[in-house]
Amino acid sequence: MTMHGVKLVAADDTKTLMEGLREGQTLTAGRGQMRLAVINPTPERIERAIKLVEKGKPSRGVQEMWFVPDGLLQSGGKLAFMYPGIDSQMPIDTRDVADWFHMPHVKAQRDASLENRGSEVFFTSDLYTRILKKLGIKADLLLGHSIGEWTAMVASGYAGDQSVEEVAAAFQPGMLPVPGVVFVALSCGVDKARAAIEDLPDLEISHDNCPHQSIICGIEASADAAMARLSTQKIMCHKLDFRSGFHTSLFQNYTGVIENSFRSLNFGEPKLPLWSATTCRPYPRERDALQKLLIQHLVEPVRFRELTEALYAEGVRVFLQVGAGSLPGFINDTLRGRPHLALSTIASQRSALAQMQRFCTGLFAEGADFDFNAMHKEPDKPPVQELRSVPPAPPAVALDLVQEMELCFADMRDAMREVTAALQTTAPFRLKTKHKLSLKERPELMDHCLYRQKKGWKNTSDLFPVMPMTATIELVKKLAEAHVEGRVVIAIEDIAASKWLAVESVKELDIELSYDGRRRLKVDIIGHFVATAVMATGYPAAPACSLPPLTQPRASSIPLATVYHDGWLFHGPQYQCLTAFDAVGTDGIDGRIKATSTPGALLDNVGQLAGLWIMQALPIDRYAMPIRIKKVSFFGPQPQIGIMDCSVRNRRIRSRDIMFDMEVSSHNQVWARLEGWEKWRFECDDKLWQFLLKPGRRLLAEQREGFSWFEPQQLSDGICHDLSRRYLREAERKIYQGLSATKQKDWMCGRVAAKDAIRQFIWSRGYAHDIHPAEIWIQNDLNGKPCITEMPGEWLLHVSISHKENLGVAMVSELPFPGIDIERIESRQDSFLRAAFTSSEWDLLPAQDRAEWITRFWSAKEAFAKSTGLGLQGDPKKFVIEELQKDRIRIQQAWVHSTKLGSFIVSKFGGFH
Amino acid sequence: MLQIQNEQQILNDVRTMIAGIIGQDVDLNDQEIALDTSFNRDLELESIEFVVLSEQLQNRYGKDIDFAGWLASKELQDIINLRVGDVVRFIEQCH
Repeated sequence: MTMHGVKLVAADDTKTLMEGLREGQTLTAGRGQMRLAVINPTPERIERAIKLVEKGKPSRGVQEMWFVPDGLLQSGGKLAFMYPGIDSQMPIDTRDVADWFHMPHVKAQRDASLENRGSEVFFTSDLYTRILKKLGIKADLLLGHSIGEWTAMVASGYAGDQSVEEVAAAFQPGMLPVPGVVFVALSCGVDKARAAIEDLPDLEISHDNCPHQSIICGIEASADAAMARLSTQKIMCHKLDFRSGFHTSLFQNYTGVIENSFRSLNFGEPKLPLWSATTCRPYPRERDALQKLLIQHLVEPVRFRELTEALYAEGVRVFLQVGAGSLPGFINDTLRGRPHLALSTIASQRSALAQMQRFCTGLFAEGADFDFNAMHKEPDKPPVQELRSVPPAPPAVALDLVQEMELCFADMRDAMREVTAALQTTAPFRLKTKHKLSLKERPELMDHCLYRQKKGWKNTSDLFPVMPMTATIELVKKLAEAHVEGRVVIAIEDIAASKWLAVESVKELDIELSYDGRRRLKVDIIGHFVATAVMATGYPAAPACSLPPLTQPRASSIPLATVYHDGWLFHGPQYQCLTAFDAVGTDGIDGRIKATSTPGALLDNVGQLAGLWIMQALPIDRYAMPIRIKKVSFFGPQPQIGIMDCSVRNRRIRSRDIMFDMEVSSHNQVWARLEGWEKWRFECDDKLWQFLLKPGRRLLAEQREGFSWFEPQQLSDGICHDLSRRYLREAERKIYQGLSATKQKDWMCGRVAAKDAIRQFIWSRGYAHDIHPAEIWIQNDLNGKPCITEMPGEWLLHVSISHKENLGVAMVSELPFPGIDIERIESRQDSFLRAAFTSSEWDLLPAQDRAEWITRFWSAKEAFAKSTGLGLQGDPKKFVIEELQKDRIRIQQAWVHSTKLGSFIVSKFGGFH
Repeated sequence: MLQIQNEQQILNDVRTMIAGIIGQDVDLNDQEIALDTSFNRDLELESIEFVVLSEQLQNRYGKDIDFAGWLASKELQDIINLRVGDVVRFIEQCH
């Protein structure tokens, strides 16, 4: 593009000003209080400009004309250069201005990774810093927004003689985003933002830009909640397209890596004051204070609005943005109504060259004096080519030393970028894969059977071997590292297990992998498990342990020796790695774990420690299984030998779930940090708990006189399902699984009562061994009558079962054909009574407690009919009650015992002699 | 709430607001801000200035003007191409 003329006139009175304007020259600069400028000064425009001057009203840039009688700089206002950070407004093509000034091009990296966008912002600002220098435009002070402060450090001289490349490289590792954290821009000030984020965890204000824009930063769930609150107030919210935890305390844990980088920087003597948006004061000069502020800058909010106010108070009236960004908008919003001017070197509406003309003209109008010729002259040398494709041939025209150096830097920079790009970008992908899981290939999983059965029990379905969640994490690691070359998994986030990976039979897993091309690989084991692996070229340096010491530490009440052998934990030899409990406190447990090569075993033992703490610390619902982990960070490859220290700290207890933070370390160097390990707490009263610990020894059903009664306080779907694994053998479970959901619970209650009645009977006859419920097999004959197909011992035993409303009763007898029945006492309709009882039975019914007696009568008939193996077969009058005594009822010469238990009647018939 | 009369009056309101926001001494007799004036290309309105405008519109025409919601329903390209007339017609519609 060629540049049209600009007419710049300066004078101390309007008369001289207008004379200057009418003169034929296109460039008339000079010293003077009043300033007038016209871009592309056609005769019509000159006429309009004269009218403008005659009117005497100041005008700034409307229709490319300026008339400023008393410029902001002219009257003593200061000029500040503002360095933007990463912004939604990305730099436009700046090759035209670069060519104009014979400077190397800024190579745009359009893959939009945070690092590359950062680089582009740096280099664009750097280009303009040099252009401004060439033009002779001098600032009184500098400021930056977010990482723009780093570019400003170079421009101010703080970074010494280091090039922007070196500084950018030093800061690069600091750009690692905090996982799972999002930025949301809000169209409101900090007051409203503060109200919107109140009470939401891990969500903070990261930027106070101006009265109409603030940015919040934090975990997605909290951010979404805040957005929902704000939308009701008609406040616009916009999730930014890059993630990082900069300027919040969430970034606290990530500063360690870049602190080292900062140390490598040589700080120089600043030529210009640089103001900090963290402190709203000038940067300090002392090295220590400077380094401290650099860290502070990353973990504290950007107070740009306050900085604007502070600079205004300092006398700054003109703000020039060096690069592309939204800073002029922030300034205008904060200083609305007060005399000031905010300009940008780059504007998306026009070419870089046209905008240069415009901002220079604007500065002139306010009273800036600089080398207008530099801005106006035509290029007299061929433009510098894109440096990447054309290596600098010996220049035809002698380039000066500075240019040569620039070319050299540009080459280095491009080489650096190429190397970095090659390292950083494996193309994004999304693919489906399969993974086969079998006990044959993973025999160690037999040591991770959730249900204990008799020693040597062969049926794997009854034992239920499953992949430990930690082994699935290992699988995710393996998949990630296999699919992204040259990377290691440094963290796994948002782990959620929805269904056990049961390996009782060979399992083919469908897995979906999606990689963002940079750092994050999401792994979805369809139907079972999701997690996101965070990848890097190497592990971060191992931090020191950071979990607090235990509160009220004491010795474990569960001795280590009993942990595996007395059934506290179900784990088999390959997962038995706990070697010591150091102490148990009110807030956690410390122990030691032997590292092994069994995949997932080390971290599984961390979970075991958490489980052991729950067992000692909680009075109820101690049966807990892992369901989610917010984040596991790795600071090295998995250790395979040696003893690791492990700290487990409870973070939260709720009625149904419990959360922990853990660290696995050696010599105070953390290998793995687990944050937000969440376990689901099953409803589990003490009775169930005792049974879970010793399923071969303890009963769940109460043993009453002659019958077994199982009435669980609450029987959730989860517990019922769990009991189906513990009480039923595979063949029985198939029947259970075929029942409707509502019937399953009743049926389960009956089976628990029956198996416990049988176990009680066997033990009462002197059998000294444990009996696991699955050792007993109850089938139903063709008429539906239950019969014992298999049980320990030599006895011949008969069983009868009845269930009602999540309540089961059962009885056993050595005599054939026992019968038991349970009914709820309730008033019944006359039609029922007429159908059920004969007139002789009517006569027997006592007048008092009628509902109870009717139920006793009815239940007795049911129990007796059951004993025949056929039931009532729709004819209740088939068996007639003949006599009634206190608690027994005679039917066909046999006595049926009738017992009232709460609102139920249990009737039992002991069988035929 | 104010009785809204016609497009011209809304345009005048919007014009005054814009002039106040961008801090230019806009001559209202001049046809500088018209229905087909583009917020982005012609006025170079910043996103924050847009927020201020929406706030002022809400103050003037009442809470029924869900400017934020209206904008949220638009594609980025539509917002970039937004003209003064689009806003004027939106306000008209709301009444």
